[in-house]
Formats: sequence, structure tokens, C-alpha cells
Amino acid sequence: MKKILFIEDDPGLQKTLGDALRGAGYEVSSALDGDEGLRRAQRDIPGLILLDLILPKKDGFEVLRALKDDSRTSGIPVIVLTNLEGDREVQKAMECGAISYLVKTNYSLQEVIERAGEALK
Amino acid sequence: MRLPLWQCPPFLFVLMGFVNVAAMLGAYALATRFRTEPEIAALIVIGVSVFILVIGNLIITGFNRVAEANRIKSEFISIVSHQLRAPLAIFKWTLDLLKQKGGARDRDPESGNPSYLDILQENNEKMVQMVNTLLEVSRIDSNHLVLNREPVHLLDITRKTVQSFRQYADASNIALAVEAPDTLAPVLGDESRMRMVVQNLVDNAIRYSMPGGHVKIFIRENKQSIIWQIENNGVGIPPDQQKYIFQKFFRSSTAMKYRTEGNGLGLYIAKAIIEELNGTVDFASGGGKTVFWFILPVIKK
Repeated sequence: MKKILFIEDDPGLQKTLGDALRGAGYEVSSALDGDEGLRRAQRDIPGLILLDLILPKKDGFEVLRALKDDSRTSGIPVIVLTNLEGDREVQKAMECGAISYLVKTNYSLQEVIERAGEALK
Repeated sequence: MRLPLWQCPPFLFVLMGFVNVAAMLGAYALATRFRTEPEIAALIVIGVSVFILVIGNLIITGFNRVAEANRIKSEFISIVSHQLRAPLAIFKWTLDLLKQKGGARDRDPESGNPSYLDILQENNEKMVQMVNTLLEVSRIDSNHLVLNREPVHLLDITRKTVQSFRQYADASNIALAVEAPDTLAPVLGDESRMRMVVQNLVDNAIRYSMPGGHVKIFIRENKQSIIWQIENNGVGIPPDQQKYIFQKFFRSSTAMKYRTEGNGLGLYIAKAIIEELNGTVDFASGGGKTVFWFILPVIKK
């Protein structure tokens, strides 16, 4: 079963997106801050990471860099899922190795699930 | 961050320096022309110089304060937009999930009236769009509009937009048609922004049409550019209000009669986008016909 790690500090989003992804047949583990996210990624080596940018302890950019610096996790595709919208942020995220940068409010639940599915292939 | 030149303090100081030196030399030249004693001439020069210095300082401080206020405003909008998006995203996805789980049951199968969830979704989407619009306007105002430059196929965008408006046009009894060649050269633009511009123009054309009216889109290629044109025979824009059409928050009186909601920002944003892409946008309204058009340069091979 394909494992997805969802690093997001909002419990409401964790529940909604988590449930939806599970409903679509994926196994989802969650992390509520950057440190926990990094730890889980290194421990579970998921098939895909959905990463928020504003996180307690370590922010999304720090987590992204740490993931890419670690040979165990550098190959895991990362989709940035955030509400921040700035060309600087998008550029920074792509330069740090994210495969997509999605502004949450611009995508329906179904679209996010589809993107996740594509990334897991 | 790209500061316009007049807001850049070092530039302003250098400029004031030159003005001061010029004023001093001018004052000295004038004083000696009228053959006054050297002390009087020196006093005049110093007097003029101090005067210019004080005025210059006031002006620069004023400019700096305006620049600072603008910066604070756009940062504020950026932060608040981001905060607003958090619950909006949760609403959006939770509603999606509820609908999936069969929550649209209260939709009337015969009349197709929307269910409560549909109503919530529609209104949530309005809030999402409002936040997006606010952010876009803020970016335009603070000179932060950075557009992608990629090949954009206007024919494709137009057809898809027309398709999405088909139901609305039919329901309002408006004939919606596109006249365009089979192939069209791509323009250099930002795909999602161009979609927004086309949607805005089509939306306006349909909305300010009367039942039984028509909306026609003409697209043609002309040497180095593509001309995209939309016309309707609707309510029109009163001549005395036409010069304000592209202004922020402006809504003509006829528009307001037809549609109470509407923020008056669509055309402001559209103009900023088209002009940023080196195009022009304009309109003509009179005699029962209103035409809006924009011209964009074709990608040079």
C-alpha cells in the first residue's frame, strides 16, 4: 500500500485530507510539526510527502532542505501544500526540490488526490 | 523588492544634491550679475541653499513615508490573505468530502435546485476568489506582479471558457458564439492569468446582456499580434462613465443595476495583466453595442 506522509499543523486539514486520501486507498501518516515530519520521513520512507510551509519547530523550507540533504529521504517526491502565495516562495520551494507547489484554496479535494496519485507512480 | 526610482532614498538624495548645487551656482550667478557686495552674494547663496535643503528634506521624508505606508499595506494584505485562506481551504475540502459522502441528497432531482451544501460551496468559492482578487490587486499596486512567460493558446482558453459559461448563457437566453480561425499562433503570457482575463470579459459580456441578446467573440491574427474581441448588444456603458471603466473599484451605474455584487476590480486587474504582457486593452460602447478587445504580441520565433 502506498504510504503518504502529510506534514501539516492544522488538525482540521489533517482529518479532512487524511480521510479523503485513505478513502482513495492510500495509507496516510501525519505529522503536526516540522521536527516530527522529518523524523517520520526518515523512519517510514513514505512514497510521497505533502508538506505545509508554515509549521511549528521547523518550517516547511527547513524540512524540505533537510529531506533533500539526507540520502535516505532525498528521493521521496515532495508536494508543497500551502496557502502562501509569493513568487519568491514558489521559486524557493522548486529550487529546494519540491515537485509541485499547490495553493490549497485553488484546488478541490479531488484534484489534490489526483496529484498525489500521479506523484506516487 | 523592486522599488520605483522615485521611492529610492539614495537616488533622491543625489538628486537633491545636484539641485542644491545648481541652485547655489544660479543664485551666485544672479547675485554677481546685479553687482552686489560679495557678502550679500554669499548670504543669498547660503540662504537659497539652506532653503532648498529644507524643502528637499521635507519632500524626501514625505516620499519615504508614502513608500513605507505602501509597503506596510501590501504586507498587511499578504498576511491577512494567508490567514483567511487557512479556514477557507478547510471549508472547501470538508465540503468536498461531505458532498462525496452523499450530502447532496437534499438537491431536488427535478428542478435541479442546489442543495444546502452546493450553496455553501458556491459561497465559499466566492470568498476564495475574493481573497485571490485582493492579493492580485495588492501585487499590482505594489509593483509585484510577476507573470509567467510561457506560450499561451488563446483559442484553447476561449473555447474552454465559453464551454464553462454555456449553461449560464443558455439559462439567461443569450446566444454565445466564437468566430476564430482553426489555428492561432501562441502569445507569450501567463496561462492562469490569461484565463482570468478571458473569463472576466466573457462574464461581463453575458451579465450585462439582456435576454434574447447575443455575445460574440472574434479572434484573429494580424501580422505580429493576436486581436481578441468580444461584443454584446446589452446595457452598455454610459458615455460620461466610460473613462473610469478600468479604474479600481469602479462600477458603472448600469452595471450596478444589473448586478448588485461585483467588486469593480476585474477590469483593473485585466488591464494590468495585459499591459504587463506588452499588450493593449480597450473598449467602445454606444448605439446599443459594446465591444471590448485586447491585443497581444505573438511569440517571435
